[in-house]
Amino acid sequence: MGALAAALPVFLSGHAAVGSVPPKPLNNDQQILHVLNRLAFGPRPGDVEAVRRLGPDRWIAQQLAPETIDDSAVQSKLARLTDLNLSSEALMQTFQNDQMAQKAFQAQRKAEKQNQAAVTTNTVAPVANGQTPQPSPSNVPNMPMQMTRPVPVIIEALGELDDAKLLLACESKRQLQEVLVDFWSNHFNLDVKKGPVRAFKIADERDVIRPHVLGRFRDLLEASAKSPAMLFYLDNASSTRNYDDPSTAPPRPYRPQRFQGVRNRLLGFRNRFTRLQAQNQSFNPTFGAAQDGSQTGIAGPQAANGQNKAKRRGGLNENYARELMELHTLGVDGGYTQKDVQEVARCFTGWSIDRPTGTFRFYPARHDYGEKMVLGHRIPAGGGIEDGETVLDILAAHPSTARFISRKLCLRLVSDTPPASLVDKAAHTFLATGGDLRAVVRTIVTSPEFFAPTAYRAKIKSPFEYAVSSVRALGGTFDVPDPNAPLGRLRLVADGASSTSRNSAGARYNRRIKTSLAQAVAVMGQPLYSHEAPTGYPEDSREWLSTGALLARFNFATALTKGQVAEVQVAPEELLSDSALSDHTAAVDALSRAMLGMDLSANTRAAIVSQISTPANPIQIAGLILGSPEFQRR
Amino acid sequence: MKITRRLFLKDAGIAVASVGLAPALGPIFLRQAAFADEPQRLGRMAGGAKTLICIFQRGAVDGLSMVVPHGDPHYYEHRAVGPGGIAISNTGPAGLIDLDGLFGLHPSLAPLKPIYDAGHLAPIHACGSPNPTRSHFDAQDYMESGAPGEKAVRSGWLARTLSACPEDQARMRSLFRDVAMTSYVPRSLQGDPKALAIPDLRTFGLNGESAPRRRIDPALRADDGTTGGSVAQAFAAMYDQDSGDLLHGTGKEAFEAIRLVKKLNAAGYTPANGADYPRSGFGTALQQIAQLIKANVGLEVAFAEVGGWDTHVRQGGAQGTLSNRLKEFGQALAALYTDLGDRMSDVVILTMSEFGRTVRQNGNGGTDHGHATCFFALGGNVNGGKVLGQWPGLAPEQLNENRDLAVTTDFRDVFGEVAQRHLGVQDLGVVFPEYTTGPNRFRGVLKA
Repeated sequence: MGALAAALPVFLSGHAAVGSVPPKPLNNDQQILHVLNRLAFGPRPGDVEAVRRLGPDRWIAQQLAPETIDDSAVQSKLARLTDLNLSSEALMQTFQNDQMAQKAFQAQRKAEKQNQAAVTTNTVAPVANGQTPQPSPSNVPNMPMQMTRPVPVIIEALGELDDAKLLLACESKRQLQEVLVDFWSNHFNLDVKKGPVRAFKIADERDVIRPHVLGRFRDLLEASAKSPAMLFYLDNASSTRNYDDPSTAPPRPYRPQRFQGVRNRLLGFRNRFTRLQAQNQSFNPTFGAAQDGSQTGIAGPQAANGQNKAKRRGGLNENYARELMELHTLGVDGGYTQKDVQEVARCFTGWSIDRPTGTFRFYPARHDYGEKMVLGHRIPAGGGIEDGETVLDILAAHPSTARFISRKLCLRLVSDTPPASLVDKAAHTFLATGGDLRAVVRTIVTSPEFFAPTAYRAKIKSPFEYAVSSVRALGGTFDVPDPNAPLGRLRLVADGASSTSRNSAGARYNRRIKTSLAQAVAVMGQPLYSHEAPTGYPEDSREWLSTGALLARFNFATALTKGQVAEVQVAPEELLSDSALSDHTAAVDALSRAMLGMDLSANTRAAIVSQISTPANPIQIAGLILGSPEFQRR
Repeated sequence: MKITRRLFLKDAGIAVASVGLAPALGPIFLRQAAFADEPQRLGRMAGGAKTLICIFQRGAVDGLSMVVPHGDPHYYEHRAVGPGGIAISNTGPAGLIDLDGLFGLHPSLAPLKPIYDAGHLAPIHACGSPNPTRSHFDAQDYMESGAPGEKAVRSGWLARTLSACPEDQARMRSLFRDVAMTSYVPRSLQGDPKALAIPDLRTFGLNGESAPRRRIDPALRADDGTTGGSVAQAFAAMYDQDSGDLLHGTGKEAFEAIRLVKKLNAAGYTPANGADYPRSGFGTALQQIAQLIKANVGLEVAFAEVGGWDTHVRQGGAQGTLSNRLKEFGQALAALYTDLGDRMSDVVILTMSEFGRTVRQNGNGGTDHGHATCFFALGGNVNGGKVLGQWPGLAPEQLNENRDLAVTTDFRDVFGEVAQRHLGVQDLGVVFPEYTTGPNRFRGVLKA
């Protein structure tokens, strides 16, 4: 294959071609910029000086202990986003109320249509003298008061989820923590377009991702495995044992000598109860009816009158088991087989969602009690919830997981082609510390490879990183929208299977007001919490390069600097002294140092200087700097 | 990695930039602009140029529901008809549309039946990859790279196909030679630095340069001199250097393409022959491909994608989740075919998906990841009106791993045939260096 790779036009080079001279190690200024671009979402005005005072090493140590950093300013802003504190139960209730409102609206509209049709047929009178027959007042149906589709209430909460992410990324002093929350939220990707995930993701971000980003991987993994959002997104909530296969049934314990009669009666009751549970319970949480509007539920107890046997109820669903190993732990080449996927799926049968509370619940009646073999480990028959927990133990401690997670963290933090030496070191730390993510990140960001010249400015920013770093570079603040303002936080999320992006739907509502920052990120190709496939967004930053996407960045840069992005207050002119404005070159240089922490390349600088208006306009220059090739990198 | 000279084959674009001030003259102008460096070839481009439209159904579509093997004695054993069942009945008004006694189209694909009857549509069944992976992401990667199991191959099969097109065609490098109607260049086209990704022609441009696409509060639009030409020129100048940095290449292409796309007036496009595209991202993508083809901009390869096929839960039968997705899919394909009309004689539409789904339904009325699926080929030169490929059968012993439709047609044999017989690639070794295909392996997708 080497021949093939060489024979083909090679698409991407991470960097401009560098000569064969070994590059010089990063100087102190470069190190400062490097940590701010990788362990934070780019420098804010004053950040470079702050890191310089502390020294990059101590700044890193501080960021690795976010609890020691005073973040009260942003926390008080965050406190205004009250929906984020809603309990799982309240979130689920809200979602279900929305569903009912939609259904009621549809029913109402249908009834009206029928009503109108009836009226039309009734009032068709012979057209005489070319006159259109006018329905007499008595024929006009009672027009309902409410004809607009109800806006789902959960959208409000989802808007707060976006706002919180943007606010914290823009303004929190615990920047590394926010970088890692973004990383892990993407690693355990969820798509809020899928049914009740839109409600559950709010709890997931708060209870699953955020508390664990510097904790143990095993804890994070279990939190995710038990997250209602994940259970629904990857369909495990509806995975059950094969009820037709007796080997999966709950074990009949051996019959002890004493109290046999009583025990038998109890067992008999339990078995009957179990069967009843299996039949009556909606093993398939029915939120999904909203997903696509399809009414084709799984066959209930009523027999299917098909061309063959009646359908079984329930059964195995492999979706979570596969992605758990492929995407969450081992990696696709981590050494598992299709058989392992099926066995892991069996271990997780019964892991589902409790209806009233919207929390994790293990349903014993749905669990497959047979023996399983997972990656060479025997999981004996008769186990319950602990089968899944054992799988998590096996996966979290697996060397493939250590490598996969370490490499992915290196992709985010270091380079698109991280050196094997660094991945090895990080994986070693992962295994030696039992998956202590703080230790793994520390190994990576204090390594010589992290500070290598080949890593410096080698990553293209993701749209989210680009948007947030732009706000930060301008010293901008993210103002939490007033929830009481009309359309203040109104965003419409496209329903289920619709391919409409959240943004395009939201744009309908926001046409009259400015673009929101979340929408801008969506237009640039990264709608928040809305990646459909469970891979999440790519960590290889070369995938963010494209013509269309770059244009969207230019448009964002222009809009942001002109104050056309809602929620964000920027004042590029405050980054410049009046004297700097008298000279084009001086103004460009001063702004680029303020925003990038460094000088532009000669070409970029010349291009900007030659095109800007006279007198120098800081808004215009700042927009061009944000659109420059230099600002696309971190 | 080294940058190859292909990165710098952008001379056409530079010429284009210099004619940006010419008045809009519709398609003729576009044609001249896109081929400004080779005006003598314009005559040829007016007709006879071949276009391949690739459509990727991401998420692994259930081929057994698109083209239903209702005549297979085991089909209705594996799948049930009726509530909760996912089989498509071969009787009744909601039943499938029989093609040949063995196969039938899903009722939601009814708009494709007339195309089949006209001999311009050929399903290729039991098609897929020899690689056993059930990972969406690996399987898509392998299908788009054209090299199953070879992760080191970074270029896409379409990019290599374009690089292997006959010499005279290769020189006709239009800016719009290969366009993906996506936000990012798909894997299939990676390796061609000129591949354009245009999510929507109507919004492809710099705000403030063209007619505003959204109304902005006039108060926000104070004329501060920062809209219009000077900003665009500054952006263009910043990216206008062949430094070997891909950022620059990408940026430069953007500005070259904007000028041309603006002249297309995509928002004002009316499909021909009453073609009715679904109002969806996918429908719009196909409509805009038709527009590019009709504008004679030299489009040789177009790419679009459509998702929603990963039907693990409640797939449905004649109605339901999958049925709804197929409705949009079939309507969009039929609209594209109708819209292009006679031009379909120079066009091949090829649909693909990374793998199929399990033959039996799972516990949730859905299907899990399987193996072979079904592709469609549409075009005036397609050997249509019959189902191509070799039917492996659905008896338990005929299944792949006792659960999936077996692959009897390697997808590369289909890709290879289209590359050779439609786009004129002689040396398929360039497209599939590790795989040998040729007329003896082709499935007769195109009239030879």
